[in-house]
Amino acid sequence: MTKEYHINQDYIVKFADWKNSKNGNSVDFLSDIAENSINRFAESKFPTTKDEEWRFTNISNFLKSDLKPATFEDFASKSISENLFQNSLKNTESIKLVFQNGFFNENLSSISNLNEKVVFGSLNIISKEKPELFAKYFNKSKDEKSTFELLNNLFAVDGFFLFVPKNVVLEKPIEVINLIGNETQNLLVSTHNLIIVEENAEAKVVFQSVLDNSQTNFHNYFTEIFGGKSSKIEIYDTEESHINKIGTTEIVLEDNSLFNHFSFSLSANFVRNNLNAKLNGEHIEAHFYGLYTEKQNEHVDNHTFINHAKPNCFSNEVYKGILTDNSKAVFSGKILVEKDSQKTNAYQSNKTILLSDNARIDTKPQLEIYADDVRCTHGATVGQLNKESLFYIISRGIPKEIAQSMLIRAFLAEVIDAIKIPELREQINHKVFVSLNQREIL
Amino acid sequence: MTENEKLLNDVTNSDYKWGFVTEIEQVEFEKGLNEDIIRKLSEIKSEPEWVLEFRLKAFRHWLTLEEPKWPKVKYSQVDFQDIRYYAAPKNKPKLDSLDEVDPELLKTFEKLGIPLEEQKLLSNVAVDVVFDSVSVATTFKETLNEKGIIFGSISEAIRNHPELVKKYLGSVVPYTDNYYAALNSAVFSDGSFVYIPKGVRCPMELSTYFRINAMETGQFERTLIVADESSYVSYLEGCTAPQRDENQLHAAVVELIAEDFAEIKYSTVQNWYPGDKEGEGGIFNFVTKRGIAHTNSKISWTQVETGSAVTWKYPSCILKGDNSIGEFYSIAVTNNYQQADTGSKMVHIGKNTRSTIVSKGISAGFSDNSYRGLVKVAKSAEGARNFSQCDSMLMGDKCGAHTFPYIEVDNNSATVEHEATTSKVSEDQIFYLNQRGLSTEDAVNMIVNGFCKEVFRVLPMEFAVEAQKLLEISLEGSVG
Repeated sequence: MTKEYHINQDYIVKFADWKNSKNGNSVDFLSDIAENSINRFAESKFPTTKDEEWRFTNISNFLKSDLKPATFEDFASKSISENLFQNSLKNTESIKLVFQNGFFNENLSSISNLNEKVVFGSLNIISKEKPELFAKYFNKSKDEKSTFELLNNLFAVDGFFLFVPKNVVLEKPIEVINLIGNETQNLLVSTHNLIIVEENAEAKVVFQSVLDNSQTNFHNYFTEIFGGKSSKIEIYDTEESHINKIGTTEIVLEDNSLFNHFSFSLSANFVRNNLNAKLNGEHIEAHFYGLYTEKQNEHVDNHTFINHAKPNCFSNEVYKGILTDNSKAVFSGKILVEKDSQKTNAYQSNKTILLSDNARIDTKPQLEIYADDVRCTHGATVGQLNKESLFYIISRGIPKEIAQSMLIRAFLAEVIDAIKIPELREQINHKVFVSLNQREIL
Repeated sequence: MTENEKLLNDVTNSDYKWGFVTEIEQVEFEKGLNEDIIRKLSEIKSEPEWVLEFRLKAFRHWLTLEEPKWPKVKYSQVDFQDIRYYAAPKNKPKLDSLDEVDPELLKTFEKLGIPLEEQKLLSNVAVDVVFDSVSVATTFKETLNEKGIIFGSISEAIRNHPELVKKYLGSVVPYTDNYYAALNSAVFSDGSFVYIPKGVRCPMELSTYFRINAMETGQFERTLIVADESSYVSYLEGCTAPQRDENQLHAAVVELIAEDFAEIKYSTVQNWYPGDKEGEGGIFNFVTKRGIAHTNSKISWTQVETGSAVTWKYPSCILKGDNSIGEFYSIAVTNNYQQADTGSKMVHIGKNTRSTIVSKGISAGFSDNSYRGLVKVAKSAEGARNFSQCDSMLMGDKCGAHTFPYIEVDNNSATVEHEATTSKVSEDQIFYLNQRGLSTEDAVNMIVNGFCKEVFRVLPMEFAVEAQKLLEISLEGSVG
């Protein structure tokens, strides 16, 4: 107990240092938030494996590593190598926003004109330019905050902001690239993203986290998404290289909205995603897809919580993964159907294939239902590639590696085929095979 | 209990109602729990030193533990110092004929189809000479003796077969296991002991019903069943008849040991007082049940849970030996304000171990019914296979059905599947049956029976028939 307390103390000390380093440039909305959070942070505790929600994910190593909260200097001192962008979408016309160690980098970003009513860009800048719009949504998605969310409140000074007003449709996806890394130190990078899509509006956002050195860096993110009536939103969350990441995505949806969320962990070192969605209206359709391919000692933990707060909604959750070497995956999905949320339709499935003796999966698909006229199903399977299918393909003269690739491709197709941006679909497909050292099938 | 309630209780429970004044001579302990009480308990039962040691160790460990809070049940705190930890079996007033029995009870018996003689026994009516329970029990015991089967109370077994009890007691559920297991280990009152020798197939279903002298086993029951190599036993616990008990807290421990090639089938029908329609009263049932399966052996749990205000129960199998099999079939019905948090744990350790979980939860009224289970495949469990199916049915919109399965797989050759669905009795189905002339109540019963069929199928035959009827009674009035 006392140990965790010390860790919080560490960060409180770090917070004081960090504040000084901002050189008085601190009287703004975000620093008020930070000041308000410090007491709550001091009282809260980092979770241990004794906490039910963190039983299978041990963060003590992360807490031990001496992380330095990223400051503006970490942003300025860094030159960017070109190859970091090889992962961004090939479609050059798309809008790219680059955040470097949590700070918006305008020079690296390519911004073409969007509809002029749309507000987007750096959260920090917008919080100053449009304080009313900002204050209306910022930190409004939930009241109770976890230790990591409070940590984010302390150190996040920037992030991605998007506001799409009524009836505006953004056809092209917006790419948000988070570059993380510094040559000398272990950084704690905090970003706070805020996405608001109003009535009848549409938006697509692709998040990419990119690590550009081998230091132990941590990305602590907090993303809030508000979907208005009849809105259509697609969110893609992917991470590159050996990133360490812990964060929360809060989603609040209103009547008749259509929501798609994709979470890809293809070569991340350590990931903990908390995805919480509140279906706060009727006739909402929400899809949550996840894909993880892990190798070596990688660890991926996906916690999802879908709250059916109103009747007549549909939610669908599909998480699939392939584990090799000593990798470990955790899945915990919960569907809550509140009282009177009649005619709810909820599906949830988590399927994992273990390709090595030392890989491990802990999965916990849960249902909590308080309404009677509902259809809820969930399923979880763990297994290996079907030996008979493999034999069948091999017996037709196809080499074993390709046969394996075919089966893996077929297994993951349910998620990959659901990606609605063709370039991204191609890219993810390719990356899956690279990350698994598998032969690609053409 | 306040003074008034006490008075009320005394009046309503007075023997006068039955027109009897029975002088009951009782050995009763004062309320409370401490080492002295445990020593005294052990002394009264004239237990050997090692049993007392076991109890004390468990008690000291229990003091260090905290009551678990994770089950999805809510209940008022149990005051462990307000419980009498020993009372000699109470002599219930004997009745002369069934006419004197509470007519409500008789109605239930009739619905369950319990034979007349059995009814008398259950409601404590003096049994006539022809159907002398003792003689039935005696012939029964003779058959078992011939085969070398030991079946009796655990206190007896401690006296007569100390080496067996010593070897197995606490070997599957150690006193350190959990809060209630520790409490039970410290103060267990009595329970059954079964030993089936090598190569023996127990010729009949063993049931507590036949162990008449020990029917009042009290609230801290301890059951130990050992099936030696290549033996087979089927054990029935509880009965379908409603059981009213003064004790609010029940914390039992059941340990099963299936040696190589042995098979144990353990069936439970539990119908304890669930509290009244407002959720007042009722029994808290916190049970630890676990079996260990050695090479090529099989353990099968079947349970029909309709009673108790709060149930907290996870019959488990540790599949230690290669090729061992674990099965769990369960029906849990909750009505009114009942709460059940039940499920199974399957721990695969041996190679090619297989397990099946089939759980059917039915919730009605304002009840909460949760399935909580664990399937764990250890690294050594090459080729392990599990299939779990948890279906919930909701009746009415005030109840809840929840599923919390844990799956932990550490071996890549394992195949684990979990499926769960939640649904309600559909209007289409009811309409279809109404149309064919069935009343809505019958239609619902028929649908529920179909829903639970997979579990009824594995129950011993006469048990299954009674269980089906029991289900109907439990859900009576829940369909409006």
